[in-house]
Amino acid sequence: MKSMAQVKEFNLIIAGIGGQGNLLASEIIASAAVREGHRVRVGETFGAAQRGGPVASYIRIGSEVYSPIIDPGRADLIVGLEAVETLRNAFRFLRPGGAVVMNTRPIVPVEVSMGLQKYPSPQEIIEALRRIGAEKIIHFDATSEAERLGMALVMNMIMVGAAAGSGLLPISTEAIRQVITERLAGPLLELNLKAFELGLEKSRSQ
Amino acid sequence: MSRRWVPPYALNEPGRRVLLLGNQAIARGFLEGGGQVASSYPGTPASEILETIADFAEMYGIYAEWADNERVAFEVCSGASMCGLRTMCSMKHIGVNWAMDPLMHVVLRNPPGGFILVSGDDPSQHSSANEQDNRFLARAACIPCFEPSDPAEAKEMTVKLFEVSEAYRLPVMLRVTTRLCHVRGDVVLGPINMERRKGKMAEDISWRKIPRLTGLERIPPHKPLHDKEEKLREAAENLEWNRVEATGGERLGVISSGVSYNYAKEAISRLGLEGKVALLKLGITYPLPEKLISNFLSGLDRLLVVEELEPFVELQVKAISKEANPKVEIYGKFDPSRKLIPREFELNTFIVSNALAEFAGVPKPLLPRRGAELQEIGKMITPRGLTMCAGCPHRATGYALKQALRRLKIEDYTIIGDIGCYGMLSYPPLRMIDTYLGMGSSVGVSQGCARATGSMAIGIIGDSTFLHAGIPGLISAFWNNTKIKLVICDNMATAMTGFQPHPGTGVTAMRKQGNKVKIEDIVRGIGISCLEIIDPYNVSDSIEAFMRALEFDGPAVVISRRICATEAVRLARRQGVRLEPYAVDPERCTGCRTCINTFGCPALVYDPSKNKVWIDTTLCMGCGVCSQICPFQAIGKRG
Repeated sequence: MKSMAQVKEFNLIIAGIGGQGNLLASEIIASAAVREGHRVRVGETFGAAQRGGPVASYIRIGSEVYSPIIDPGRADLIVGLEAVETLRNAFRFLRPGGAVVMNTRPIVPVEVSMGLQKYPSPQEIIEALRRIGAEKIIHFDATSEAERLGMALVMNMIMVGAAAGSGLLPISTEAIRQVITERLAGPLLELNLKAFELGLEKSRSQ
Repeated sequence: MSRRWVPPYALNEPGRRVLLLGNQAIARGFLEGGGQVASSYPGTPASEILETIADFAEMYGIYAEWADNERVAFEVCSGASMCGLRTMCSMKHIGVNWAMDPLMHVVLRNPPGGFILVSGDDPSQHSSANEQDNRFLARAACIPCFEPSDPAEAKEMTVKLFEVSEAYRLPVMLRVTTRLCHVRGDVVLGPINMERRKGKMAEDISWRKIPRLTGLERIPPHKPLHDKEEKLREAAENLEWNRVEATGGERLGVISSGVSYNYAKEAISRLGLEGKVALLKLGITYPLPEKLISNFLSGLDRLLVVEELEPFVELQVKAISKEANPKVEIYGKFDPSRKLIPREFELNTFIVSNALAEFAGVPKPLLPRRGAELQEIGKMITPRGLTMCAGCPHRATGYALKQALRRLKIEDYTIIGDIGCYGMLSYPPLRMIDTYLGMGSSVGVSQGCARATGSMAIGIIGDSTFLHAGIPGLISAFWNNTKIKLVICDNMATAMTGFQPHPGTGVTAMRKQGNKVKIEDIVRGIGISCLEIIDPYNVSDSIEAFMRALEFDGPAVVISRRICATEAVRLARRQGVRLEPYAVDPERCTGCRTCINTFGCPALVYDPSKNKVWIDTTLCMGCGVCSQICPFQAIGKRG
């Protein structure tokens, strides 16, 4: 764990498609960073409210951070909630030697089913991530894990857990756990905490 | 119902450091600045300002509402301000176009209550149909324009701008951009101003209280306004939000405003130019602090202006330089030979670093990846555009309309869309919209097309958009007997901007029950005799209703009513109801892909290895429309 004085610039992207819970995932990680005394800037894609379009949250933590947007080639970690969205963001933003945490489950655009576009296989995506220069790649089907917990929607919290489990975030796992406990107080808290712990374990075991 | 979690923007804990969205920070500034009335119409990127105020309004004795459109919202705030209350009207950039009419008048009325107009501009048009720089509109109205650089500064400015507005008895513009509205940053909460004034039309502006002047004796109405502008120009010199940073060797200087300041600051440090390039940050961009800028220019050989969208500051600085330092070369967006920054799309540190490197004569920053091998990877990344959600009733409406046109063999037609999710009917596979302009335009533009072509012209508009701007157009069509067909897609929400309620829902911004406006009553009240109301999830009935409307000899309206699919999923979850997804029977599926190629719900996925379609159950919400479209009855409820 890096201490707060050391962090000058840490860049994290949470990428996915609308409706996957990107915003909540980024709010939780960024709130945990503020709680630990960091300077934080988060650039969100709110875009249109409907589901299905690509979205990305840029989370920047550190004393030298001003811009809310991460520049090409400067992301330290990419957390991808969908397979091709992970690659899209890694291709443009991941720094050489950066890390990727990816949900391998694809959400296929209509144009692919119509035969107008191709969707790469998980193996092709992982291989491409390596060629881009990703040093550490943690990947699993987080949607299936969420379905096993009883709710596909908590996939985002599994991925927050997986991000924490990578050991790369400059914030403590406990701070994230506390933010989840406060922010999601209510009937779904237990399920979300379970999802977070599951992601943590999945990630640590890879 | 007791609240389990009080969001940070509503906490009464001065001194606490919290994470706030830019829009929440502006709403918090409204609370700390003693705002009492807020009105708005939803529009990205500004929607969350009013949503946030509405969320804490009852707690702190504030009134917040969604109005039917931005003009009404602005008029509501004008009334509150003239009655002495602090008020805020927030909207997206093009919303201000609607508010321009009352704005051009209220600036002449000396309203005493602090009045902040928030304009959310959208560089890169992340969720808009155009880019527009509303600083020009502030200038046209002779009101000052302030640009915060981050959420913390946005809150601080909002609090102080109530005082500025009251000192000059003039509305002020807080001009923000998407990367301020939708940026989260750490903000320190301040004390909440609990002064609650009782409103009364100010005596010194009420025509009932002051002697009416005859035409000949009238004071030129714009003279006091122009005097205010002069005073504001002087006051701008001492604003805390303008500051010279990073002074140094100074033959080179940068001026920036708003969020661009962050990019300029990072670019200077990234290129190691500290001490070599002076930086002037502006918090006010109209009127400009001329002396401050003249002093900044006086020692410079070259200046780079960094700002979002149009060269607004750049052109003013050019004028100032004529006297201050005619020799200074000004780089930015305007002069073709000195254009280092694109005028289109939003900026970032990378763009500004490249411009600054060229400007300062140092090596440009490079992208880490190059080469042919990596281009291959770029090619394998599947493009993904915006799409209507699985189960979206608009898709079903579009499908039924298209089938009706086909059955009636109408091939010569024009379809004009409008501002809302149904605008995406222009994407594959339906691809059925010719074009659209701004809010409500489907109704008027389709009439022009009908007159010009003499053939079928159809407008497609949403419920909220119809109530915002569509009604006068429909009156005009009925009056002139222009035989357009208007499809009103009523999904019972302002869905695209985040499910805000509207007059058709009867619920108010503060979650109270208001009165419900019935769209069919308006349509009938105008006099339209051919009105069909359909449920788009019932495919065959919808097609037949569309056929009747298309065949009717006169203007006709079809209201296609079905709750937004995303909202339906949310409601079901809240009520603990399980929406049963559909499934494809692989025995019956022939792989013909009629469901995908004519309808194209994203939950329908084709598996080429098996030549079968399957349904992604994480997306399917059980609308059942595809089961009515499949020619082989291969789709049904699971189990």
